[in-house]
Amino acid sequence: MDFELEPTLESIVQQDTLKWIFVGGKGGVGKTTTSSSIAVQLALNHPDDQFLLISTDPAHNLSDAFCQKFGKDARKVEGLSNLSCMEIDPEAAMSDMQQQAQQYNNDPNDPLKNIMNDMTGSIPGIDEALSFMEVLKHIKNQKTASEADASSGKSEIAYKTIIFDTAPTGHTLRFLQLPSTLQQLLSKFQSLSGKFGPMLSMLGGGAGGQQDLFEKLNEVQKNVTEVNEQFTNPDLTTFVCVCISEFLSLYETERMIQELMSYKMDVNSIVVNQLLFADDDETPCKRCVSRWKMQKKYLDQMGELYEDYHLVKMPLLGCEIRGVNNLKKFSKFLLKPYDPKVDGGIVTELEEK
Amino acid sequence: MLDLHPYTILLLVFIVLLFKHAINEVGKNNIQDWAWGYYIKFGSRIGLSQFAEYNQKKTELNKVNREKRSISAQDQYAKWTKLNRQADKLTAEIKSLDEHISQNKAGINRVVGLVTMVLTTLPIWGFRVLFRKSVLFYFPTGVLPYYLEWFLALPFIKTGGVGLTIWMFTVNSVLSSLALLVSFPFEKPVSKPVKQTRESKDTKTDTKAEIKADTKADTKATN
Repeated sequence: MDFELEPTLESIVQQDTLKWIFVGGKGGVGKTTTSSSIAVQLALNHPDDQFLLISTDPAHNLSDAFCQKFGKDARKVEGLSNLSCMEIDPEAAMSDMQQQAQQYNNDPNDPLKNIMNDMTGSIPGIDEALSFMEVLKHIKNQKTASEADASSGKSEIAYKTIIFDTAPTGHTLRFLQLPSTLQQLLSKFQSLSGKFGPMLSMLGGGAGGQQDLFEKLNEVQKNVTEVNEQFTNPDLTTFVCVCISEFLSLYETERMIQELMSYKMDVNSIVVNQLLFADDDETPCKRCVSRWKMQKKYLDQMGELYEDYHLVKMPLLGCEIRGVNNLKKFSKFLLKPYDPKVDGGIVTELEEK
Repeated sequence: MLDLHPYTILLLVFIVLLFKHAINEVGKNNIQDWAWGYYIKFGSRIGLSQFAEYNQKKTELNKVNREKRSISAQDQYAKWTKLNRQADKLTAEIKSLDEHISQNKAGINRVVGLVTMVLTTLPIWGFRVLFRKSVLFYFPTGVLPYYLEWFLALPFIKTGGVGLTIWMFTVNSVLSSLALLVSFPFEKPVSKPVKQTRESKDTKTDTKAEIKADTKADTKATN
């Protein structure tokens, strides 16, 4: 068993089946750059298909990465007609949901109101699930809107792949373990409501509202289960980990991979960012050389540890990678391994924005 | 039906009740704990597979953890992480084994409960049903007035005889008195309550006042 997997993301970019690509990692390792690069490469390699890049990070870096303002609705990237971007604030989505819940149950004397809020609030992963569902709803709305457009003559937008630039808040995908939790909870609720339903209706006078809530939770569970099935199917979904060649970043990456594997998600690519490649510099800078030595130490360890992963090594460039053209230049190296002798020029030749 | 000599019944009832009292004195929880302890001890000795596995996993985990601690995570990251993965896996396995074994504990407790019931409650009820009419012995004539003898013989036996009801009542009261006598010396002594005198109260308030004064002085000084 001594075959090496190619150190590129070719398997992801050249595929035909993937519907969801998640890009994740701790803050500051280049998630947004990597996800933008993947999106750009996908768009370049499949000019006939549409792609969507979604950022759920409240810091909203996509606008900066593409030097173009994006918002809640998908907007096309200037210069790449088959790539759209959108920025969604998960917090806002969550508060929207809460407001909606209030609408369902607006009786101030309802004794169950607070209990319900507390209970639904304390299910692990529910907030992530809700914000994620909000995202999915957005996409669906987009689709129906475009279908309406289609009837008026415009062509329908169906995204071949959706790339997620996840927020660095750790348990981004904790909601993947939600369906089982929710199932238990719902069966408890249902048996309770069967027993106490009449009493509750006497107390609160609004068992109907409660029923609505159960239905809502049921719906949530159904949606989450559906999403779960899609996400745990390696043909449809994959996760790309981004890290830098330093101890803590590697450690966090390892933990993330273990967690994802416990959710049965497919992880087979790791992008190592910000490498210095200082071996053949004409005018060696001492700091770069010694730091590159350290990076190499961790790279070696990673090679040993993640034998069966695609380990993509990306260089650290001279300035921030912003704008479609720069992203195009940079993202090449996702497919063709960076060679400092041949490609060294890119470090300094990016257009300043 | 069983045809037992009255004295045999008498003795058997006494023994069963003695046993019951002994169990009550020791406590059901203690007995269950002992049973559990023996189950673990002999279970691993006669090689119930899960115990062997559990112990082996535990030692393995210890070994892995020791090894993990002995190397530097930063210098040998790959090795350390591999050990870490192994430790995580072992911990998960141990946890599931643990759960499995503690399920057995409920079973053991059930067995203990069943055994105590079979040995105490059931025989007593059996005796009560089967020998409700048998006379164990008779009072010597003239010891008790007739109406008392008639009352004590209720509801099933001849006047002047001693039945199971009386016998069990007597044995129970004697045994509980005996149990109290035997266990009393082992009870923890309770310290005698001391009556609070007015002086001790005064000193307490005094110290409080002093502390307050001190803190005030301190705050003043800092100000």
